[in-house]
Amino acid sequence: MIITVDDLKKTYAGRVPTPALRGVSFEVASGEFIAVMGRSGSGKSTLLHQLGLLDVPTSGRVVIDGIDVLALTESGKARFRLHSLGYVFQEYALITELTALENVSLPARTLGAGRAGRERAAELLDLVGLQGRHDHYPSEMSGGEQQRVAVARALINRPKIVFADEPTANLDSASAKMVLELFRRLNRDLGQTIVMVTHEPDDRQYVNRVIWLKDGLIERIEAAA
Amino acid sequence: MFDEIKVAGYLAYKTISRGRKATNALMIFIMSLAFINLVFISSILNGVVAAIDRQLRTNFVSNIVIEPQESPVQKDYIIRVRELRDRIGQLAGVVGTSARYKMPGIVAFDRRKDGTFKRRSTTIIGVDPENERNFSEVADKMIRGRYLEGLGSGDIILGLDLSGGPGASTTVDNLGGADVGDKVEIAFGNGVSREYTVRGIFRTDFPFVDMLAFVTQREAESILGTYDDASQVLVKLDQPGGEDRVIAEIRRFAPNLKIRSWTEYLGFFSSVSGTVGTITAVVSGIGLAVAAVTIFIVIFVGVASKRRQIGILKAIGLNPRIIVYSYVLQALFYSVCGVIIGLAASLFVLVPYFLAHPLLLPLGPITLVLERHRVETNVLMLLGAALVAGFLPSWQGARENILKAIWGD
Repeated sequence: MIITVDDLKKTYAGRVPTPALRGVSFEVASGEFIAVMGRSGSGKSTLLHQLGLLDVPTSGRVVIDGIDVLALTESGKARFRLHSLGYVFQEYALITELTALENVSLPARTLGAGRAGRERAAELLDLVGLQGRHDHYPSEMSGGEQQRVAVARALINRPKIVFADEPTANLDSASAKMVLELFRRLNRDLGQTIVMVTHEPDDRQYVNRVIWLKDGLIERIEAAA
Repeated sequence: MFDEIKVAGYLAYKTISRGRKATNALMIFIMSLAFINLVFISSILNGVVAAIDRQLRTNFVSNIVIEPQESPVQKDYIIRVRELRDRIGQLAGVVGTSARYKMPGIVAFDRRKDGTFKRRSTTIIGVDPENERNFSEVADKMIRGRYLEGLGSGDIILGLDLSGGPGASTTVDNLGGADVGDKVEIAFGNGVSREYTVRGIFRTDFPFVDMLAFVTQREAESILGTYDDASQVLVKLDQPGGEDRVIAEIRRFAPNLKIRSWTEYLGFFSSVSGTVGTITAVVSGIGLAVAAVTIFIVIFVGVASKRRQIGILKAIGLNPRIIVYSYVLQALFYSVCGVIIGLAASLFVLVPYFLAHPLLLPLGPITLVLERHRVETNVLMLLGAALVAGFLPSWQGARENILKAIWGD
């Protein structure tokens, strides 16, 4: 298994503590395309943030590729995110001062891959259908194009898993379909493991399995059609 | 670490080069002003100290002051002055000596010629007119009449603040306008009284000199009934700093004389210099604090506006150190540019301007004096402040929870 989640809990502190995950356990095999679905407030995004090491759970255990990632130091988590995880946010989350090519190659540059990183970034931008847009800044691209740049950036360091947090929520239907097709292609052709949070029931057609959450607990896990 | 700094440098470069030109220009402008503020006040105060020092050394005491012995017996004059000056003149670093008679006296002037005298106590200096040219600017600062050369018994020159008249200080009492050709009477401290014709009025812009009167050495000797004596011998060196060595050598052949460097002689002025130095340090400290706070605010605003971006960089796996280095490098860039522009403005605009248009104070003309070590210290302090000001907000920002940074509270 590439991901093993065991009794994962997250309670947001505050005057009135709010439990968002109340003991979630599941596994993801390498090469799977998983969708996490549920109603608003069910804990979908919270779950993804814990798996993507963007937040710290209250308790539980997450093992990714054999590593107990919650035991890592902050610096170790940063290194793990850089080497092994890719992340696609709902709102593109690109660096505004960098071109598409520079945005995609930045994680590779951080690993010391200069020219090779730029070459791979160019290949990935071509792969996501952005030929001829390499030198454009985010402000010069549509939402769909920016999201595809974000996908390319998530793939640059050949991550073991790509996490996508409602990647189509801000896109028109045509752009959304393009991004989802891209994910499916990456999963089928390259065997890329993807865990995607979505609220669109129609997105089930793209994935292998769906984990349904309700009130911070797994309601059911179903194989997609 | 080097790879991290490379990535940080890349991000800093992109942020600056893709940032708004007006914002960059404003940041650099603020840094320049902060630097100029740091340098300007201390330079002016240094200029005041330099003016005091220059005036004192040029017109008042030169480098070393020799006075009559005080023990075992108090003497009124230094005796056999010619021989003493000859021996001092042979010492390395000595470029000249001057023997002076200092005579306290009361000068009286009847301006309206109606028997109403205005009196002013002062010191009358007896000098060798030709040699004195090497020891004071009085000969070059005659504003009316002529200098002492060629004059004899019965002739005197007066400082403007003693004579009074147009341009004289309004803060000290004077003779009410004695001018060239007027007669003044002087009652000397030894009981001798004489009448003199004013032959010239000088103005050095140094109040302590402009309140004096000068007569020839021969006239002074006739008043005091002395020959080859002096109240004071001044020693001029080729450059400041060698006073202690020369004093030690003079003491070998004149052990009983009272020999002091100009700073020892003018203890009061030394304390003025010291006080101005303290003020300079305090003002520089405040200037530095203002500069540091300015840089801090500018960087802090920059970091605050990039909070989401910092979150994204962390989310994609950049070590927080890279983010901190990036902002520190940006702060350094703005500071270095500010320092370069501020220094250029100081060196090529302010200093030449104040040389051409010095501030005219009672001490004399004041120009900016940029001391290299002080400028270097200011540069280092400003860059240090930039480092801290760049580090603190970015470190705080980089420590923030990734999700809070990206989505806000």
